[in-house]
Amino acid sequence: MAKKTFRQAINETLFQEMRRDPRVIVMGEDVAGGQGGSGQIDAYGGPLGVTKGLIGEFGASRVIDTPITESAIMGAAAGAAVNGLRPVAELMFVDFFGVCFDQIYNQAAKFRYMFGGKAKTPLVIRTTIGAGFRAAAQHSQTLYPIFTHVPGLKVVIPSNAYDAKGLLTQAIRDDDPVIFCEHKLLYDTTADVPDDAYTIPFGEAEITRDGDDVAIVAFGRMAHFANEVADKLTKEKISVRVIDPRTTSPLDEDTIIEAVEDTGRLVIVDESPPRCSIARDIAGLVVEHAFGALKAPIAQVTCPHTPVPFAPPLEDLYIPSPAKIEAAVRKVMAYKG
Amino acid sequence: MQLSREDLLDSYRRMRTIRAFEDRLHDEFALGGIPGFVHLYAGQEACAVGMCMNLTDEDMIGSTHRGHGHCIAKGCDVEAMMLEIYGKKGGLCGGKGGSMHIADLAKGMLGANGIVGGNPPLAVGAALAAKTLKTGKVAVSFAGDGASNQGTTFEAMNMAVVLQLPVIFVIENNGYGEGTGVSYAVGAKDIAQRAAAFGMPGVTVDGSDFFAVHEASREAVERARAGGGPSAIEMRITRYYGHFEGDPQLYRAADEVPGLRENLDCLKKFRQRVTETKLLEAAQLDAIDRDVATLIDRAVAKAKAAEFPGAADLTTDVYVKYA
Amino acid sequence: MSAIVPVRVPKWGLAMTEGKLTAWHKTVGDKVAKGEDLADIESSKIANVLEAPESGVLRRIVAHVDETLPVGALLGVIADMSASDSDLDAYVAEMKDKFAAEAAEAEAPLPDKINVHGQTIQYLKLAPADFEGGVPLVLIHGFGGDLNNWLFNQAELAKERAVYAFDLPGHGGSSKAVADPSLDGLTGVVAAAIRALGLSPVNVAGHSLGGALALNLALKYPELVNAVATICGAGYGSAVNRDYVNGYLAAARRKDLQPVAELLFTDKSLITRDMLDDMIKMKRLDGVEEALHAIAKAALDPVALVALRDRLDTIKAPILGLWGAKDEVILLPEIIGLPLTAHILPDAGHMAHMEAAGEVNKLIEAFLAEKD
Repeated sequence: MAKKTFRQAINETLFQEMRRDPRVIVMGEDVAGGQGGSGQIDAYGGPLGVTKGLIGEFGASRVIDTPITESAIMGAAAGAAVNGLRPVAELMFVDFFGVCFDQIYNQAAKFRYMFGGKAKTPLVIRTTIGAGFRAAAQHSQTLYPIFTHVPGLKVVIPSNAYDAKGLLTQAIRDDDPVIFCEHKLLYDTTADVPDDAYTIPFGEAEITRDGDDVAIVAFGRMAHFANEVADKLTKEKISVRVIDPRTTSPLDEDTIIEAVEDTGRLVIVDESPPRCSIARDIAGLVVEHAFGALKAPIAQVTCPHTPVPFAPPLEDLYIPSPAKIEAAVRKVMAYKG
Repeated sequence: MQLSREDLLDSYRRMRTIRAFEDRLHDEFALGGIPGFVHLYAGQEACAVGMCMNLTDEDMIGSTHRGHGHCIAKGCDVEAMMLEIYGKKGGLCGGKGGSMHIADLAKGMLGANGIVGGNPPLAVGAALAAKTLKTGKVAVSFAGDGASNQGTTFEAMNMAVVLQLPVIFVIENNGYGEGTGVSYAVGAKDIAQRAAAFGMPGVTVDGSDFFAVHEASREAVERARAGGGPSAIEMRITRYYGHFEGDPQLYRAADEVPGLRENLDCLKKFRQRVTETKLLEAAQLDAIDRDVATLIDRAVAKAKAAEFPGAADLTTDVYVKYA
Repeated sequence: MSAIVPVRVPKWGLAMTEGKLTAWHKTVGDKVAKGEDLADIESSKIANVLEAPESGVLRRIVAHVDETLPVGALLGVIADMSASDSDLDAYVAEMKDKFAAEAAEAEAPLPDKINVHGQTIQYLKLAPADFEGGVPLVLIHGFGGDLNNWLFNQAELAKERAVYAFDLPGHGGSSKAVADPSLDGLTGVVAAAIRALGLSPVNVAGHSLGGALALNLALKYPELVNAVATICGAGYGSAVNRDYVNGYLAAARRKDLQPVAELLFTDKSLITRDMLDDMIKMKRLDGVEEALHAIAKAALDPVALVALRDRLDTIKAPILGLWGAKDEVILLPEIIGLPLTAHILPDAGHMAHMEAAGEVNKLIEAFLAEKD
């Protein structure tokens, strides 16, 4: 099996799914780039190079460079989805949801329910998330809690190249609208990725480390930090289970609750501000369903309740770090009641 | 396209059905039998029907909060619509959408829409699907003067021009966005010209003149179908009722609506034209009026008698499959 | 002998890059015989016993229990007492890092692909460096497996001959679309691959379903086959445990697969999360689920397997049958009267070629040496 980057895995998935199904189209700002310029087409291949090469094989009718017009992109993708296409629309940075959210949460997400089950909206919105890119307050958020809040949407946060391919394939073949969150700092990470297409079902957490003393739930880039901490603490005979839920909607509640029942201790790592976060959501879930199993208060490692700062030292402080996760694990392990 | 007698009778039937449907809802709403709130289309019938007479079931329309007329013009089942507006189980959306979300995808009706400016991007998407899949379908976005001020409408128009999509933007300018007049709220007084500034043909028609609407729509639909890209049509019209039922309409002078009903009634104008030119006989139109009255009576009776959805319906149809 | 023989971290399977030493069965100064259990090594996918490469005395232990080392790294040294302590120390000092670096640089053999009957078949060829001629050995894995199942066997058997491990259609790196999922259909693909690679005649060894295919190959294509070995082979008349087959087909997650995989091994601790992960990952590839269902229905059909048993006596090639006494997937068949050499491995389960790799390798090697 070949090592591929997260970026390659997504690019390969788009090629494979567009070959497999002529109804799949890619649309967004500079998904190719170069239209109307004096230079070459496919000048960008996506702002971060993820959609490179698609236009060469599939042409401008299926790899659609749009104006900078997020509402029209999201709305057109939603409208096309209920009319027979399976669009993969790109929202360049998730932070831009503010200029197009109506088309996502009021329109695409609700068609099926509002129309009494008669609509299918097979729409994927690929978007980049996450801090650490020195891109400051309007290009660095994760915002997946906001999408997770909306009934009718599915929310996917792959943490590695293997999952990215399987989950994106599932997203494209899925008949519901899916928000597919790609952490910018994961694009160059590598994993073994099969050449063949495969799907990973939504709502199925991956247990990335087995352990019995404490469980860490972590998403996206944070899953890597959690693994790192688990590996370090294993050497000290602290046995850490790491759960990467992979999707926040649907959420694999059973695997999380089972982990709390097995370990009695839970640390949740969420790269987003704390209020109304996925961390709080999971904490609430555990308190409701596994209160009796808890041996220590649930620890939540999140960002502070601030916008994402620009100055590199501040941004580094903003992001949950392995050190903070480790400290949280030690704290719940040391708790004596 | 010359309208045949059958077409004319069909057009009249659709317009009369809309008028009767809305007048009846006005009465029933006042009696308290209808949940929520409704926005009535009475007075604007020629706009929806004049356009939709140029469309097939395969073509798609996006609609507004004032969407009953678009639904009927596009061929949605009147009884199922009535059930939906009453929130009943047999409604077009199983009682889960209501007046503002009536949709019938099988009839190319992509949904009424509770968000002003909500549907133009969706109609662009429908047109994008038509163009990509080479189905020969066209899409029509019905929007109001209020939506004409929304950024979504501008974005939709620009993208339609950029991608040369088979979509027609119909702006039904009925004089008011909620309780504020167009003369105040629309900066450029000519909405068609504003649409045209995006790079597509834009015309203005008298929305109470079925024949003018039909002709302008025919041109736009033929252009779109032939690959000639988008168009915009501003249809100047009025609404007989308030923004919503129960709206005291204090923003309108006391004599405004009676005067409009007298002088700007698309049904009257239609009847006058087809009878004076001997295209149809008054008796034929009277027969349709009676049929329609019966249809609406039956629809209301059925809707009142029907069951509400059950508790089990609360959580269904959120996803195709939540996994 | 006076040579100094290194004990090194083995490479079990293509993906193995490092191994963890989990136990020494000998201490410094113990005499060891070639093939005797020397240490336990664990990769991320599997744990196994490392056998002594030569007879002698374990003179040095370089790696300690719980240490994780790269493939090829020096674990210890076997020599006889004639080697001086200073020679041994010098040897250890020199070779300790050198072996690991060598192994890291060595090009791992990669699988190749050929097209037969419109299907892509992946295979891995291993052969001695200076190898020429001889009867090659073809390895055929079982239902739901792949060529990596031979990770403890292929390299060992390839010391004496060229060894080709195939991925069956619907499995591993081969085409997932299976044109004909019956015993005859799969056998036809194997025969075509043997011809396409210009190998015939071959020795063929198959595990489980692969055993039935090996027997069927000898039956249907006698001109291709020199000798047949089966390990826990189907096709001798005993039923395949449907709990295993159906459980494997139904398993969607690692935890569903765990109890199913436990039917494969006597020593359940051999099952690692990586092993289960690989199985789940394979099952999720497009087309695999359909392929496995089709093969389970057609090739593992009890009627087809009994029909094969009834014709075993017409096979011309010599047959070696190996069984794990604790196999929970294919029970020991009634073999009296069948034309074969049989061995029962007392402590092995269904994955006898993994659990009792050393013994299986020796038995196959001896059998082939005699039949070539």
